[in-house]
Amino acid sequence: MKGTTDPDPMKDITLSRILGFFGAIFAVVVTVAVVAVVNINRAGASRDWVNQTYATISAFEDILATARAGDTDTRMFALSGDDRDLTAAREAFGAMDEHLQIAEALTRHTPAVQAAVSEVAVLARQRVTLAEAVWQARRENQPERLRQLLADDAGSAAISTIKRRLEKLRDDQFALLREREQVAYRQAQTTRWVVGTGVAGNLVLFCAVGWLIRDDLRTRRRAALALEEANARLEEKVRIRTADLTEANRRLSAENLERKWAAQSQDHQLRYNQAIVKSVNDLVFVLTRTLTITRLNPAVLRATGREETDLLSQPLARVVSLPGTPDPALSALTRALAEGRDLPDVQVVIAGRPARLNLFPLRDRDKVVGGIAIAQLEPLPGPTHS
Amino acid sequence: MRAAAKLPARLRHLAVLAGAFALPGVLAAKLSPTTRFTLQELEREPGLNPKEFADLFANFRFEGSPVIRPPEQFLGERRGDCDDYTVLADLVLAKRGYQTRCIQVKFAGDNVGHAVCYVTENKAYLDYNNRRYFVNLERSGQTIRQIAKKIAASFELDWTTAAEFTYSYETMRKKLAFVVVKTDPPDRDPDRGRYEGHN
Repeated sequence: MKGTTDPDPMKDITLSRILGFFGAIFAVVVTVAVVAVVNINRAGASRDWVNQTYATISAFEDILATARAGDTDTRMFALSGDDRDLTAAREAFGAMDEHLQIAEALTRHTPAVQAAVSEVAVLARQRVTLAEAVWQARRENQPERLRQLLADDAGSAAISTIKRRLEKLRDDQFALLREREQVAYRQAQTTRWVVGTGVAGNLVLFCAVGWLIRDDLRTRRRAALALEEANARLEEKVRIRTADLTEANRRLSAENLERKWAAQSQDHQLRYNQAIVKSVNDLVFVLTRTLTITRLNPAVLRATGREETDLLSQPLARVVSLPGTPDPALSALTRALAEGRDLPDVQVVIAGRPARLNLFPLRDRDKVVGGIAIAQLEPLPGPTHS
Repeated sequence: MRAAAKLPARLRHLAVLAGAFALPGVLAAKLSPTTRFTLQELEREPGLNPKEFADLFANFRFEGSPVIRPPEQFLGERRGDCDDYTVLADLVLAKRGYQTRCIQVKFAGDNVGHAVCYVTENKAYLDYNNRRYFVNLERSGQTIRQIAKKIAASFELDWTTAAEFTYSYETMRKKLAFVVVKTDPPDRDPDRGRYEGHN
C-alpha cells in the first residue's frame, strides 16, 4: 500500500520543473503578445494621426487652391460677365468654405494651429466678401465701382498672405509628421526587439524543457533497469530459498517418520519390558534417591498382599526391612544410591519372608536420580521328611 | 361628353364599367427604374418610400463631378454621382416627411470622399453605390461617426473626417453643420447627444 500511495519524488520534481518552464514560456508568450497588441494599437492610432495630418495638409492646400480659383473666376466674371464664371467662382468659394470648416475641425484640439487657421479663414472670407461685391457690381453693371474694387484689390497681398500662412501651417504639419515617423520607427524597433527576445527566450526554454525530459527519461530507464535487475536477484533468492525450504521440509518429514518409527519401537520395547517386568516373580521396585516407591510390579503386590495405591509414594521401608539391624531408614541403600554404586545381594525381609535384594542406581546421564531394587524371596521351607 | 351621349345606353354602361375598372390601374401607375422621370413626377409619386426611391435609380450610371448637378440634369441624363443622389434623396424624402440627413465622409489618402442620405425612420442610409442591389438601404447607427465608420468599411478604407451637411440648389452652396474628426474622442463629437431620444 505504501508503494502505491507514496508519490514518485523524481516524477514530481520533473513535473514541477516542466510546468515551471511551460509557465515561463507562457509568460513570455503573453508578454510578447501584450507588447505586440499594444504596439499594433499604437500603430493604429499613429496611422489615424498620420491620416489626419495628411488630411489637414490636404485641407490647407485645398483652401489655397479654391481661394485662388474663386479669385480668378471672380476676375474672369468681372471681365466677361459670363454666368458660368460666376457659377465657377461661387463653387470655388463654396468649396473653400467647406475646406476651411474641415481644417478648423481637424485642428480643433491644437489651439495654436486652429488660431492660425482662423486667421486664414478671416482673410479668405474677406476674399469672398470682396468677390460678392465684385459679382454685384458686375451684375448691376457698375463699371466704375467694379474698376474701383479691382483696383483696390490689385495692390493687396491677401492671397500671398493666405498662401504664406497656409504654407507655414503645412510645413509645421510636415515637421510633426517627421517627428511622429521617428517615434513610430523607435516603436517598431522596440517591437522587433521584444518579439525577437521573446522568441529567443522561448527557444531557450523549449531546449531546457527538452533537455529536462530527455534527462528524466534516461533516469527513468536507468531506474527501470535497476529495478529489473533487483527483481531478477530477488527471484533467484526466492528460488534458492524455496528449494532450501523444500529440502528442509523433505528432511523433516523423513525425520518425523523416523521419530515416529523410533517412538513406536520404544513404545513396543517399553511394553515388552513392562510385560517382562510384570511377568517375573522377582519383586521390582523403582525408587527415588530417598527410597520412595514410584513403581512396582505385580509380584510385589502378590508378595505383600497390598494394593498398588497403598504402596506407591510410600517409603521402601514400609515393605522392606533389614533383619537384625536397627536401621528402619535403610540407610545402607540410601548411601549406596547417593554414592551411585550397586548394592548386590542384601539380606532383607519382605512381608515376613527373607529375601535377597539387589539395588541398582538409575542415572540420567551422570547424575543418580533414583534406583531399582530387585528382590527374590527365599523359597519357603518344604515339608520335612522324617 | 357629346360623343358619349350619342352612344347607345348599353354601350354607355359598358364604357362606365370599363372606366371604373381601369381607374385604379391608372391611378396606381408608378414610376419604374426603366422609365425616365422628372423631379415633379418623383415628388408626385404616390407612397414613395426610401426603398422605392432607391429602386428608381437602379439603371442610373455613375459619372463623377466636382459640383452637384441640378435635379433636372441628374434625372434627365440619368447619370451622376453620390452627391447628386444624396442631395436629391434628401430633398424628395424630406418633403415626404422623412427625417433625412446628408452625410459626407473623407477617406484617408483620398481627396475624394463619399456622401449618403441617412433616413432616421429606417435607421439606414441611401448609398448611390448600392442602388442596383436588392438591399439598397444600408442599416447603420445614427451618429455621424457610426455612419462614417460603416461607409469607410464598405470602401475598405480608413476615414479622417465626416460631416453632416445641407445643400441648397438655389444658392448652390453646401454648408457643413457638424464636422467629426476620427481621432477625436467620440464623446467630444459635435453631434453628441443629438440622437439619444430618436428611436
